[in-house]
Amino acid sequence: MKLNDLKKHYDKVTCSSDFKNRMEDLLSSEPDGEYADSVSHVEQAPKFNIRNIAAIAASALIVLGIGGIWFSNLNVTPDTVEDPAYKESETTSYIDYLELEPYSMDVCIMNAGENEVLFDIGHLPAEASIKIISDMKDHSDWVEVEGEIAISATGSINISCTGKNSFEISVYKNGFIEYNDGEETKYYTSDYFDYYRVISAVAPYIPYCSWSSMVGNRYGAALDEVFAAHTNEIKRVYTQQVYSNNNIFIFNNDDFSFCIDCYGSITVYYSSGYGFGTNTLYFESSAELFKEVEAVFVPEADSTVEASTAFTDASALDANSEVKKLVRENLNTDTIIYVSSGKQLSYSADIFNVPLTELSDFYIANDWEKSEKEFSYKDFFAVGQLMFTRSGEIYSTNTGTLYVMPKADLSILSEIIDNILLNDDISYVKYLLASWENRVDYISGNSIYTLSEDDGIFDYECSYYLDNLNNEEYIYLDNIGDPQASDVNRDIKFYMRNGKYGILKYIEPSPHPEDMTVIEDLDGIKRYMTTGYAVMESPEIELNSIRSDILGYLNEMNTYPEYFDNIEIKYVADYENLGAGYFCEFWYNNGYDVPSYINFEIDESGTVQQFTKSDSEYFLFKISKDANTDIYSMENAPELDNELKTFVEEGE
Amino acid sequence: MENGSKALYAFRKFGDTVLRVAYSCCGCYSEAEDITQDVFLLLHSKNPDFNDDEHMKAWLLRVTINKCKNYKRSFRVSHTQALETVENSASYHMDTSDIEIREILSALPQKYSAVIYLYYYEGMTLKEISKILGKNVNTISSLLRRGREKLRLEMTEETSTRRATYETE
Repeated sequence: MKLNDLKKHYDKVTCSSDFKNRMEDLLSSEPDGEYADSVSHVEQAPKFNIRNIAAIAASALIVLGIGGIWFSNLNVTPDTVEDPAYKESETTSYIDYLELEPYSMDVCIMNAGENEVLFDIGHLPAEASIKIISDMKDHSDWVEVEGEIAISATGSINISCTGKNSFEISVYKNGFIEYNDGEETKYYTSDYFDYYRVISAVAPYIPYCSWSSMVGNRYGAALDEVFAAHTNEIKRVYTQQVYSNNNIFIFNNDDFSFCIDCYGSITVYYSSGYGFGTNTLYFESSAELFKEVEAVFVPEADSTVEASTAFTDASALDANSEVKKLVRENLNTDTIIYVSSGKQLSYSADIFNVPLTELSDFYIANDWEKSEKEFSYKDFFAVGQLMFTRSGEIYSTNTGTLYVMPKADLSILSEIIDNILLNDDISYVKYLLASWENRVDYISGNSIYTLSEDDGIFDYECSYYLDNLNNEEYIYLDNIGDPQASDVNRDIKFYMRNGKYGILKYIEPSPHPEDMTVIEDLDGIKRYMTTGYAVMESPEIELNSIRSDILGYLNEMNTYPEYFDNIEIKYVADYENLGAGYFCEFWYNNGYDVPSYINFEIDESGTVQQFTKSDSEYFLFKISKDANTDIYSMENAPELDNELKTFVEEGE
Repeated sequence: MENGSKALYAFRKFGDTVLRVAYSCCGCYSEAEDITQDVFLLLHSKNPDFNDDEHMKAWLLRVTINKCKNYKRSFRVSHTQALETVENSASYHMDTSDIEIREILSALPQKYSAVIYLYYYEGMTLKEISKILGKNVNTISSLLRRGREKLRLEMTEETSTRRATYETE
């Protein structure tokens, strides 16, 4: 199957005659007041009635397992209840409803904001439902909340119940419980019944994944084997836990991470491709499993030594021991990131077959001291949870500790780094560089050259960008070839050249010079090159501080009359480290159903330096924290054109 | 332009586009029709002003993708019709290849499928897609990269499965 097949498939997708006729009729008439969803091809939701609501609410309690005592103490029949509210479900024993309403329950854990599924737990087995009920039936403190409810900035667990009366319940992290039967939505709160309790109840039913499918064969097959042998020992708990000082980070890629904590448990952070950082599937496991997983990632390590170290309180280690651990745990990964000075340029690039042994040995051989200085986040490299510079610093993003080696010969370190990044075996890249360099003389102005190839499904390309103005050049290589195909066994992701060094990932050379073409479109790659921001996470403590500040700003910003009326901040979507400050991205709902987002840049003091409302492309202005009357003073804000006004003011 | 005629004009001009976007996001023809209907009825009701057709198209695409997000979360999804009924209701004949592609698309997370569709079928630039989806260009680039990796993986697995089936037969 190739990309062309996909395009041909899309070509076939057109409106049917029946559908066209129906739509022409609908759209030819005058609009019938306020819009309401019109649905065909799906079963309409059951109409609202007291009996249904009573049954639904009761069943909601059943699903969530909090109705037992409450129901059993009441003696009212559903038909005698007037108001379709929560309390009307006080009609019969939940056991009766359980028997009468054999609901099919599907559960998924939702991401904050974008309504994306983090973990699709799927259909719960009957015994799981019963277990959830029995676990929670002694608690029934639901209180209905009147009016508009802010459920923003939070993820949720969503339970869809299908049966005679179908409904959906979302339990949010901020404590609200949303109930929706397709006709109306109600909100409740509960002191006992919260997101984490529900998550813990359903976590055991999160389906096992194939590690091979997630991490590839390099580690996956061995991991599958190890986990299969220890299935009975693994207790799975969904938790909000993120990296802590007690966690020893041993492996990561875009989608998941393995951590080992000081108690010998294995913590697997994985995102299933829907984001990363706050969604944790926590495996409480045996020490034996811990050792075996560790051996998968660090087969050459002395497992006895590693295990004993891992069980030690990390805070008790001296600087040399900590650096040794950092190096052993991080310099065996495939991912390296480089951030250049002052340009906020950072691009991840996997390094294959580029040994870091020499660097590891150098670090381990030297004496280290902890430093009170702050890490500068300039001109540094990052591997896993470790950042290092040519000036002999190592920074642990896990603990926020900076280490220095004052007695080391830094020229040796610089030479080692050069050897790694400009490895002699990088023949493919050298070919590309040589080819392009030969053509530089013919280039005037900024130019991009692209090497394209078709792997049978998609076109891939790498690009060379020459920035004559700044006398710099960059090469962007994106997914060249298929690393899993033996005949095109090459994979170069990115190479950035900035004077003396670069970063790359490659497997085998295969230049295909005949595919080289020159393209005219400079904007895309240039924008990517010059405005990209760091992919590393900032230290957790600082993030929390920034988060607090920003939320304060946003609350006040809502009152800014000219541009922010009726803007509801929905949630905080993203944080990225950005050189000396921070990059934050907020999504909001502007009163209409087209979400937009705001970008902030914040300097080290926490002052918002730049604000970008990104769906209005060049709508930039500065916000001064120190202004007294108007908290936000606008500078250099261009006049909005008509299109922008439409988007900003009307949300359309 | 009258309200009704504007929506009608939009449907005639962009109906298939909206349907395809919805289809690419949900992988189901009948759901795509529902979403398409919702989108144009919303246009009919709200009657927003557009500077030109491209502006209108951008609006339609944004609304469509957001409706897809809500739709995927809605419990309505769990009530969709049986597969055979859906296939019969489509405007085209689905051969084996189409069914495979549809299954692959429906398995692909929506955030990837939308970007892949807009990039490879609509031919939009990353910048244009970023405006449509309200995301940073870098985010779109990342989604595109990951999405096509996932799509390629799905396609590879599909091919392997098919080969295994043939060999078994």
